[in-house]
Amino acid sequence: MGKVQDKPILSLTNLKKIYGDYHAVNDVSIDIHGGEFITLLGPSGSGKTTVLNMIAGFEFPSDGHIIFQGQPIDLLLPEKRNIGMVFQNYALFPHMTIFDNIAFPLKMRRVNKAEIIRLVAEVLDLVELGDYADRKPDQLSGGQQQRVALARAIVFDPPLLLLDEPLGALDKKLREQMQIELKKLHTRLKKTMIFVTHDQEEALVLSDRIVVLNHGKIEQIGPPNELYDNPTNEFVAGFIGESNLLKGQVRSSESDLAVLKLDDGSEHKLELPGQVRSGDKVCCCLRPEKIILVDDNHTDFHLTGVLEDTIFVGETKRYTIRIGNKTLLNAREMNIRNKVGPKPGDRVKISWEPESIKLIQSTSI
Amino acid sequence: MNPSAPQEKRILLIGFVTLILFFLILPTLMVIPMSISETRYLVLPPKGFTLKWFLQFFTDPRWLGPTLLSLRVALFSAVLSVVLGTLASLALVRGRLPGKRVIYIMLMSPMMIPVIVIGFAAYGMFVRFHLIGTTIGIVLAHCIICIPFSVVVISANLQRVDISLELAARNLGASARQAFFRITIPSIKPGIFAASLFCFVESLDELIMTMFIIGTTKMTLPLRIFTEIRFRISPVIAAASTVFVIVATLAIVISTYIDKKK
Ligand SMILES: Nc1ncnc2c1ncn2[C@@H]1O[C@H](COP(=O)(O)OP(=O)(O)O)[C@@H](O)[C@H]1O
Ligand SMILES: [Mg+2]
Repeated sequence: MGKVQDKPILSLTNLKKIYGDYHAVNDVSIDIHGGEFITLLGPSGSGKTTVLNMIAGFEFPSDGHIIFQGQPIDLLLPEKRNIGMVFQNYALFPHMTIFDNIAFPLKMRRVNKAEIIRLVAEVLDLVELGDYADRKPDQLSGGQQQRVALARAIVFDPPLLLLDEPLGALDKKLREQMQIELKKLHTRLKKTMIFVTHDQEEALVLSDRIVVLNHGKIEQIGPPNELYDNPTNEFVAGFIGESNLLKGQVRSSESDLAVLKLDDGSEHKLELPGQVRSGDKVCCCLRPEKIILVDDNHTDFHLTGVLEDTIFVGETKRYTIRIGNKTLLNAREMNIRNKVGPKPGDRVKISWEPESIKLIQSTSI
Repeated sequence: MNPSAPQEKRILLIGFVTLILFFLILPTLMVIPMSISETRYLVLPPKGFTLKWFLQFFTDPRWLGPTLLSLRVALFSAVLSVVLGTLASLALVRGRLPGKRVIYIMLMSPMMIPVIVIGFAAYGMFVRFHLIGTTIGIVLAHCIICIPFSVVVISANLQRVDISLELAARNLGASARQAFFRITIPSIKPGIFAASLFCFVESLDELIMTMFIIGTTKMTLPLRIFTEIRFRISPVIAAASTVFVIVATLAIVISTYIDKKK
């Protein structure tokens, strides 16, 4: 982050949007600092676009406040907000040339002609589309249209840029390339960006901080590594990366070791993080790559199970291990040593670093 | 076409389609030979060749006056119907108002109700407002017929225009009015063009409404043709109809050409 200032450039406080009796956005509060790259991440229908629409002024909040650069803007018309936006389908004006598309916000601001020509040329250079000024949008490829949309959103130098799934329509390869370009652009322009996606990988790659949304509510806010390593609840653990969940009730707990009765009925003696007491219902999250398969003669292990399946995917091997009666754990191992691993049906012992297992909130407790 | 269909079936089908096309177009085309006959009455096939009936159509005030009135009325009706149709479409497609469907059906009702009924009802209304026999009266009467077409065509067009274009314009600093004129209107240009053409032609040959509203002093082209055919069966009627057909055909050709270019 580095260039974060004290005062947030944008504050959302207890923001709500209610359609009929449906809470599309429910009590969302975020402080965004100048220069930050923030991602709103959540499944389709979780209210991401609605949040952006309220920031852009296309929808008025049912409740709550939006403070932008120290001013409340809840009821300000969109054209008065000076916030850039890139739409999912680009929303380029089909009857205008690329030049006129990008010049549009400048014309609306009554910038003089010479200055318009200079600024448009500058921004076209920035997105490497200098030769395309006279084309119409439908004469460009998807990736090029995307860059025009980006150019149009930054040409008037707005302090805040909103991007609603801007890479969603591109194929995988182009998307990855655009992610890198976007990241470069962010570093170069030092603009505050609010990026929306349902793709957790994209969010992890791009963001300074991620806001995980679900059913219009914030599940967790934090930097990518924190969300990955310390998800606070089951939704975040499941949505970002892969995870194994051990759910059950603590039977007894003495010093470090607790007896955990899993929901499938089996009991296991293992170390649990934090303070747990007998009778607590708990949910533990364990990432697949943190699980270590140890040799049979090892005494330092946490659980034993039966190997159900091995999948070889080139650089990694993926194991499915059954512990207890029917709880399945996924484990992942880098394919470094060409050792012969266990075969399906073998008993295996598994281990992990003590800090790898996390207690999280379960939705079903 | 199914490639496995036998050849003779195919020929039969082509023949049948051609027949239907002729059935639709032939009566219309008949007016052309009738308009060049030297006889003082309508005959088919024509006897001799003359253009004097066309000359009479373009010079005789009995024909020229109604033609000019019809053109003027058609122009005003088209403009008014398209402006109102555009505004109504905007409210129906983009607006957030309750009972949109009901309003839409009400706007469409002149298409469903027999024109003779609307004409009769309009007569009652227009008498009160002293609109009978006025050009404005005829224009308004034609608009009742034209507006539904205008709304259908333009709202269908507007429905296909992505709303995010207008939102983008607002976001980039355009007021609602600027966004409307710079983004929305250019996006629905094809619909506006088609609706204008349609309303113009519709008004140009409207007869039933006109008869209720026109009073006793004015005359439109269709009404002139209608009265002429009852009292004098002069070939000028055929000449007038021929001009009509040529103008309408040209309009269709031009509009499809413009459509193609897009
Ligand atoms: N104008 C509207 N009227 C009613 N419901 C809406 C409206 N706009 C969005 N919604 C609902 O609000 C929820 C959130 O929508 P949205 O913000 O578009 O989600 P996302 O962008 O995360 O996919 C969805 O369930 C959607 O159906
Ligand atoms: Mg969305």
